[in-house]
Amino acid sequence: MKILPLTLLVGLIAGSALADLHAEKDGSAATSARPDRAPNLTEKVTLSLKDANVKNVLQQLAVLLDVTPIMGADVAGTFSIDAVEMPISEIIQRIEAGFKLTIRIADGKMLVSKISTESTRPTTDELALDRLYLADPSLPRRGTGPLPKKDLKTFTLRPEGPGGEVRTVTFASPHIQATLPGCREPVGMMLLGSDLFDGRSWIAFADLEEVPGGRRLRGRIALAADAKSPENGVPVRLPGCGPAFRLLEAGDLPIKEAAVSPVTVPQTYIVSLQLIEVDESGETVLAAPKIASQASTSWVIASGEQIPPYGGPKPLEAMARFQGGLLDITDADALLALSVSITRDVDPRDGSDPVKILIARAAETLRVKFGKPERWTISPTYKLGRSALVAEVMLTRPTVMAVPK
Amino acid sequence: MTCDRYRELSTKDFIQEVDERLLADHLDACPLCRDRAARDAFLADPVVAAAAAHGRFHRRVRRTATTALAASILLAGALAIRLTRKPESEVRYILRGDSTGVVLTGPGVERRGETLSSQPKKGDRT
Repeated sequence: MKILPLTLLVGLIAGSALADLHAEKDGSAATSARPDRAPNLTEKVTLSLKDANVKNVLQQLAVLLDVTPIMGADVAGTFSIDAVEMPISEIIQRIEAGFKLTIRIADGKMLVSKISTESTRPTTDELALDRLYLADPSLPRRGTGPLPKKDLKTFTLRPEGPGGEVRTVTFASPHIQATLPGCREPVGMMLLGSDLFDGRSWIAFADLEEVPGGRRLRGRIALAADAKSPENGVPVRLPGCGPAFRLLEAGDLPIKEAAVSPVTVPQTYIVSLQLIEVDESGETVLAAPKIASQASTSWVIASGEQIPPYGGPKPLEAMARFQGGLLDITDADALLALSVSITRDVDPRDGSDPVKILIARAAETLRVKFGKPERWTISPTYKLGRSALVAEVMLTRPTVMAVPK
Repeated sequence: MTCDRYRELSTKDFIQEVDERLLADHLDACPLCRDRAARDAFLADPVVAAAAAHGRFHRRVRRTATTALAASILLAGALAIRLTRKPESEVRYILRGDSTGVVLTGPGVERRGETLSSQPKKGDRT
């Protein structure tokens, strides 16, 4: 008789163990679905960061918390940490202490500012902002004339470090698969076209990465550098490849063509974009373009306005240019590569020529579910830290019209 | 025959035929003993029935205990297997990065934040 309570206890423990096993099995299959509710500050994150841009770290934490980051223009620095299962609240505390920041999370926003400048917000006046843009030497600028035409289709991948084979790839079509040295599998590459500000080319990569429960395509997107100035290229590290490499415009280098094959996906999709300015008081939709495209090609959307008042011979412009393409497509979602450049022509009004200033430039790969809007913060320091510039992306499939018999 | 003699004979397991006849005659003659014998007979049946039920109860308890013990051993074995397994990490979100960018991975999240320095670099068309 006395064995019954013991049996019940053991049964309960073992039952919970079996229930856990079952839950783990379910969890591995459900990793592709984001939880409906965004994680809160107690969610634990494993960190492996070395000299990472603190703005990027905060932006990714904002993605995790499903809030829009708005950061002061003076928020800067690099962050290094290795930690296992650290609560988000503790990560934020460390960043606050290490960079002398104040980070407030409320109403779907993450407001980040230097403690010393917390109370000072930049002006909203457009002319005053133009003067601030002109006075900020960190913002790239050029003349307002058109860029020289380039029709580049050939690029060089130069491995980082000693050794390694330099590989030249020519795009026979916008979306190709190439066998790259040091990579376990062929790498998908998509040519997205040239950038609005300096004409350099955006190229997106799709590489297989081992994830719990199988393998999945991971995207990267990079801006090719001038072959004559390779130090301008950002090192591209793909999960299935050995060393990182720099992506360079091939120019007049001798071409040694890698094995490439065009990727053809006979599917059409519609991408709807919204360019949104988010500040402490609310949101303003600046543009809402839409485009239909084939899955195996890339697209460009330019949206802009003339800046009043202008007194010079040429109209001044404020422009946003989106370039994107799908690297992978499934029944439920797609891996989208997206770059955006925001420029603004500013007339110094001192007799000198107007200049084109690069206000923001960003690139990211996003896995987007069909029919579900996904937000991406292009710049958390828009208007010199007054607001954030956010893109809302939604992919849909075109409706097939029934043809009456 | 007296009532005491009747009680003495009636509790014996084996009695002779002549004594049986004496018992029967006494029951016919003595209403007191006849009533007592009727009561004893009435009480004896439930005791026999209870004895059978008691046996069934014990058999069921023994069977239940044996089954529970076997289940305990099996479940304890399952628990032991689970405890000896390498514990799986419950980490859901991982943030990795270096000077080239920061990657966030986790359920439904695949983001790669690129570092695009706004500082004009050598070779940029400034």
